[in-house]
Amino acid sequence: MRCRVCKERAAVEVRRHNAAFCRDHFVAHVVRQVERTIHEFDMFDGSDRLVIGVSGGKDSLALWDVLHRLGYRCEGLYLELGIAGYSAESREYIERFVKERDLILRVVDLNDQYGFTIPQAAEATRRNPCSACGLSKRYILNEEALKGGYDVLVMGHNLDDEAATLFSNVLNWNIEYLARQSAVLPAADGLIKKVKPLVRVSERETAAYAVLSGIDYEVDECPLVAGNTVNRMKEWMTLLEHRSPGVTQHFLGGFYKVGDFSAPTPVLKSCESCGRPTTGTVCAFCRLQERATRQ
Amino acid sequence: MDGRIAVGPMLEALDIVPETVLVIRGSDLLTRDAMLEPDDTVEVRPVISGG
Repeated sequence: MRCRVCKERAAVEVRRHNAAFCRDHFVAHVVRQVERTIHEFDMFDGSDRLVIGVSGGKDSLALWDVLHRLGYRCEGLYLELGIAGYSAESREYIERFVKERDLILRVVDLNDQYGFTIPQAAEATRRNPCSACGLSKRYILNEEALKGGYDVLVMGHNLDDEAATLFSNVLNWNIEYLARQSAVLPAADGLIKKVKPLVRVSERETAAYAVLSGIDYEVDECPLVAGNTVNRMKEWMTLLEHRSPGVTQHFLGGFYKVGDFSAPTPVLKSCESCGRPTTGTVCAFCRLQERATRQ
Repeated sequence: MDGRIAVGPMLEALDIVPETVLVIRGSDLLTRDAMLEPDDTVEVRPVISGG
């Protein structure tokens, strides 16, 4: 198999584009896809102060590397989740990445600053750990990004993440979630603008980009991930993609084009505990924190 | 592995969907037509991860 551009031996095949690329041209292809997405969705420009949520996995580190190559000023935000045998190792990958590129990283320790770890929250609330983790990450990344005075919070969700979420929302007809799912979530009172520049890059492509760019990342899956719904959706979507290359991108791209899943707009009030927007009296994060830290 | 085999048929024999892994030999990524020799050592790295 030969590179579409230079005809040298290919390193990565991208079946949905009916193309293959050598190392250098694949890296350039991913950078171009991200740049195009940033402009097309009007995500940010060079004057914005960006912060990226990093986990130590391939997606966030690959995206941070692309933004660095493109010349954007972007700092990192890492949440120490307190997952034994996983969090410490993930953090090491990030710190090595940051040191090699002379970047700025902020670390927030969930236990020190919010009084609980993800395993404690999952146990206290009897929630699936991924659910407690997702809720905590969404809340704290928003909170810390606002506190840090950034303009935009950048997230590493890739094409497969977003397509799997869409698949799940369609299977369950979660109209409210469909109405809110987007590559760009605009700023609102108490909510920072949130963007996902990897929505045109598949999970396999971000992994290939990381390997070909010399990025060491946490390859092992989180030990608490068993039963993750999005992963199950991803497995199904991957089988569809294998049989019909391009279906994942058509599915998500078509959704972005249609884009109007009108749902009653929820009335947002201020959480009685923390003051951030919520549809209830006390927001879901404060309820989680209260139960996780209850003696 | 008794003889030469290409990456694609190797994954098929192992019942692995190609979209879910990278096949790495040294610092190189291998496409499905790349040939593996009997003495080659390769890493089959899963790429699917939780959110």
